[in-house]
Amino acid sequence: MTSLLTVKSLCVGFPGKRGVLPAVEDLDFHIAPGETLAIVGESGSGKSTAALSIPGLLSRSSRPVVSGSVRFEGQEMLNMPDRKLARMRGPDVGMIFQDPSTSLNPVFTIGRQICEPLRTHMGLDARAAEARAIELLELVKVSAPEQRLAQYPHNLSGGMRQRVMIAIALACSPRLLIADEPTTALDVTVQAQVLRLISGLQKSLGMAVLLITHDLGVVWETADRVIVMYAGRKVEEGPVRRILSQPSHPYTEGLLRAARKEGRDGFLTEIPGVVPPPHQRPPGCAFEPRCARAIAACRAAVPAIRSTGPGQVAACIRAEEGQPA
Amino acid sequence: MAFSIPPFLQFMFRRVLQIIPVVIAIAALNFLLLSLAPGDAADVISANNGGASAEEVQALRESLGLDRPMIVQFFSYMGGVLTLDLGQSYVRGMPVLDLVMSRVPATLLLMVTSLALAVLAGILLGILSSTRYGSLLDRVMSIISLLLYSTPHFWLALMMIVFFSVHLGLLPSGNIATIGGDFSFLGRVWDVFVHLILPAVTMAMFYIAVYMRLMRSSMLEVLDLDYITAARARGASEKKIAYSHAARNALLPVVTLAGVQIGHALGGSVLIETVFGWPGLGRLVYESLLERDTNTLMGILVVSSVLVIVVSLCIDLVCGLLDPRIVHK
Amino acid sequence: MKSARYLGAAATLALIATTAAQAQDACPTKGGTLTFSYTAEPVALSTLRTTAVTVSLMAGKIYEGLVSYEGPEMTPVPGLAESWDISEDGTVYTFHLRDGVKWHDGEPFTSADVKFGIENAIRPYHSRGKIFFGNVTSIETPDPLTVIFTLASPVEYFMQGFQMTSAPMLPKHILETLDVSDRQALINSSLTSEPIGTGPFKFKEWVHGDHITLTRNPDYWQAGLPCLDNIVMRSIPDGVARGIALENGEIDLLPMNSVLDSDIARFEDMDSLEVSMRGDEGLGGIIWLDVNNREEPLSDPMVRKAISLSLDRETIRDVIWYGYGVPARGPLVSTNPFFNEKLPELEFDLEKAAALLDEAGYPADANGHRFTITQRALPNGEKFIRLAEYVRQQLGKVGIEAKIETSDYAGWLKSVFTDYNYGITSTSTDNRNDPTIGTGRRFHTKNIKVGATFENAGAYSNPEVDRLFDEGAVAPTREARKAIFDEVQEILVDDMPVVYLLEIPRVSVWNAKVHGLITNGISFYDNWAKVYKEE
Ligand SMILES: Nc1ncnc2c1ncn2[C@@H]1O[C@H](COP(=O)(O)OP(=O)(O)O)[C@@H](O)[C@H]1O
Ligand code: SF4
Ligand SMILES: [Mg+2]
Repeated sequence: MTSLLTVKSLCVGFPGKRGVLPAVEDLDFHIAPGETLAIVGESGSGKSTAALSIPGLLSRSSRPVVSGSVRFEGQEMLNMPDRKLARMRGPDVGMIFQDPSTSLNPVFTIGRQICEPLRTHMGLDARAAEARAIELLELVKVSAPEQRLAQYPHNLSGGMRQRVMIAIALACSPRLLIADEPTTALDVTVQAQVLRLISGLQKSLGMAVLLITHDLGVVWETADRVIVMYAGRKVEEGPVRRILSQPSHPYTEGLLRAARKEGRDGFLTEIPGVVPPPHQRPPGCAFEPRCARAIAACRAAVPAIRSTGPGQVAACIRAEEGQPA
Repeated sequence: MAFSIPPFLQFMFRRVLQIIPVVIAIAALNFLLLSLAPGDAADVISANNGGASAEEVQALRESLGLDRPMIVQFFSYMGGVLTLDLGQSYVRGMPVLDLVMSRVPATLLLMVTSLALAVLAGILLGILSSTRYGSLLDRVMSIISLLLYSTPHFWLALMMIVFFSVHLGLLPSGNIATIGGDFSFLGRVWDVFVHLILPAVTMAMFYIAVYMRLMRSSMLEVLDLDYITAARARGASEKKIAYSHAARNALLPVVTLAGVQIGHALGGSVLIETVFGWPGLGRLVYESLLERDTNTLMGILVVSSVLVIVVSLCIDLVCGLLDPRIVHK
Repeated sequence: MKSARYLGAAATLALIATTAAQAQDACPTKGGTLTFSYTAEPVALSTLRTTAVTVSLMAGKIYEGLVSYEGPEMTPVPGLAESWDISEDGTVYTFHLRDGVKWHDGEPFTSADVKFGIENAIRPYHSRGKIFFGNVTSIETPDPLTVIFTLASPVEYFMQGFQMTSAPMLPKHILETLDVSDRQALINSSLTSEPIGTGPFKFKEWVHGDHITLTRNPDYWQAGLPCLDNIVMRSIPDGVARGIALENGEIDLLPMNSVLDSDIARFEDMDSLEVSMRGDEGLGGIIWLDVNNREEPLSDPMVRKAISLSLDRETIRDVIWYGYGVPARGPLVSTNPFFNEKLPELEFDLEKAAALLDEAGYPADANGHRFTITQRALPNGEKFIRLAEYVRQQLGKVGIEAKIETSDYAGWLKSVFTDYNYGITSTSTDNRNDPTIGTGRRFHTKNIKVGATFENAGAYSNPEVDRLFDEGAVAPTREARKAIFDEVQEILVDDMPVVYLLEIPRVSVWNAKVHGLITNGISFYDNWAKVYKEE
């Protein structure tokens, strides 16, 4: 197998008053070593849920129901005992979160938080861990790293904090880095720096990256392949060039048009409406209420994933009919 | 060269300055309430003496200065307080400061021990309960804490005595030390410790329940925050996440509450001190109130206000240590 | 009934001092510590400050009176004074002091101590100083071992004035260092906090709020005594915890009603504990309803008698007082040497009560209601509250509505003795063992004074009663006084200025291994020199 991570039939539901509500349904994908896979989609599509379920980090208090299979180097990670899973988090799978201001423990120093994985996983003593922490901070281009160690998160700017988060995620040189919208909460000027940092590090360290974003510009610059998610499902997947130039799915088309027009994330003026929450999803194609090309048949059944080009698949019954001008 | 005061001292100084008018207001209010209550120390002293003639009661009243108008008594009292003279106990004849200070160590020992015990146990049990959220253990602990919370102190205290002291003969039933015991310094410390166990544990029971519930909900809230997920994502063990990452953050409301409850504990200690014959302030308050020993009561008020201030400053310090953000606010 | 025969002071003249050998016999076992608890800790260690029970319990072991007393009638026997003579006319008392008695600090005890202490501290400042020594015109000390008291007129009860609680002997060499012109200075001095006495026990330590320890005086004038090594008063403010400590053997004694009533029956069944009502005959505790005689309709003796008729004293004793006590027949308890044996038992008859009220001019209205009065209850525990409930219920049956008002002790004192804001109230009082001392002041017109505590608050005034109390105070012989007080008692029952309820002896409980506690009419205030504890 050349695949580093293989996800098959992943379903994640959250129990609610009206039963288990599906946040991710029947998701398949894989990532090869060193590859960058981007997942795009509007807010609420299930990107974070899918990403968090890989290293088993879904919020416990919401009692998620997870099924399917997540294999890392052939090892099944779903239902893996906590202890064993904890040993994989860090050295195998690292993670960066959307909001650096809430992702660092406010009562611990930066140093303590960077050293934590170094000491638990790599068995470094306090001194060695500190030295390595300084190197890591240098690596992520944090100025005056020695002084930073004794500082608390509230002493740092948002961009600095995200760099620290990256340093922590990279501390044990993971083979897969999951970055869930790593730049969304940052200033526009800082966004680019952070992204460049990630892709630079990826190349030098040779790790795979699962990049979650709704910024197609970012995808274009960094990703090898793209998955488009809508309402908990993968609606299209393929190499970056193909997806961005010849999208098969009307939703992908909408995203592209919106990106071209506004260059801004968030609202899709091109596609009226919002992603339906799990309990309001229509039968058949979930995109049907917002789709300009919808026909009666779209409501009959969830469209199957079909190949629409080299390495490209999509879930739309009208995909092969070509795009409108 | 300008002399600069460290920020923490400035902060303490400001706190004390803020509290002085509050203490004066409380003192005035209490003085007023005490003066409004019918009867005075002269009545009680003469009655305890088996009765006295009108002339004798009046003479007593004059010698205690109780015949002066209330407002004069108040200002003369407050004047004394400003010069650290808390006056004489009407009934016991001792200087109030001596009388009160002779009781402060016992009360402080009991209060601080039981609160510390309660905070510690409450925190640990709260963490345990939160990490097993919804489990049988969690539910059993919830029920026990509810029981502890609603059990009258008085009854609990007696049951503790009957069980540990009478039945098992393990621990002394009361007092602060073995009477007439001839001990080395360490022996004396051990002796006091042994005497402290029952009253402190009994008093702690109620607070354990409070802190446990608070800690549990505080933990559940924290455990859902991003930085906990982030800590998990870097491979921290569940134990470390609960006891280190989450607990440290969840502690703040518990410690803050403990600070607020110092005053409450001071009040609650009356009962415990009565049942266990613990020579603290609580009992003195009760007796002085019945005896209308205004000077002693006011003295206790002033001293305990100072105690509460000191303790709440300590709590502020602890909060500052727990959460670095506070110092900068 | 016990014999109320009183041994005249003259009869003790020939008594010889107890020898050392006898004292040895008095201690079957020596050593050990007697630990006891009372409801609260004392506010001082000398009755110079207050004669409150807590203080008397401790002070009596440290400070001694000039003479000692034996038996429930408090017969004076040799003590610090080996013997005494009383002049024919009863105005000159000559005491011959024991040689070689030392204060706890080693100074000798002499006649100068007697004179100085009584003149400068007891008479001016002790609450009972004037009762006993107000009539003394001179105290002479011809030699270190002789004291002569000269009285303006005979005081038949003068020999009762030397009890350790009423006139403790105080050391002159310490009094001299104090400002005796300042009452506060004196009662707040070391005399009351670190006492130096002549008693069998010396003050050792006082851990405030925790315990007080007394330790044996090795130089006590009665060689071989005391039997015990230490006496400890341990503070256990809670009644239940006190009972547990006694049962558990942690303490040896709960004196004078410091045991919970609800524990008494159980303790009586235990062989290891001794429950007793003896030993406080000299106090003569009695409860009655004080009646505010000022107010219509309570100013009418017929109304007061009707109230008396409405109450069943046996029910009060059995239901409220746990079966302890004796229905009162008048102002004196039946163990008092002056008690009038001819007094009948007080009747309980609701019909008679109603008839009396009709006769007095207070007819019942259609609802059976005659009038409303305010009832207060002595704030001294559950029993007095239940008594108030019972009184309300019984008076209701004859048409008197007795509304209950409650307050704490200070508030009660103010309402009853200063504001006179009450119709009836339960009260508890001690006869002491002479009517002139304990009883006269409750009924004499001259004791109607605003603010006086435990005096004539009800404003009962009967010139005949005043005259008899005045005569009884100065009548030179026991027989003459007895006749006078017999008459007073009859009038006081007939007028019923207060409603007599129960003689209530104080209940004490102690470990059966402790012996020798009951010595006289105020046994628990006595010096406990001969109290011993089996191994
Ligand atoms: N912990 C949770 N409990 C309940 N519902 C959740 C939880 N997390 C996410 N969801 C739901 O799952 C859906 C997908 O959310 P999410 O994975 O955060 O999407 P995205 O990351 O693409 O914005 C949303 O409808 C959201 O309401
Ligand atoms: S299946 Fe129908 S509704 Fe869904 S995207 Fe394709 S055309 Fe639109
Ligand atoms: Mg998301």
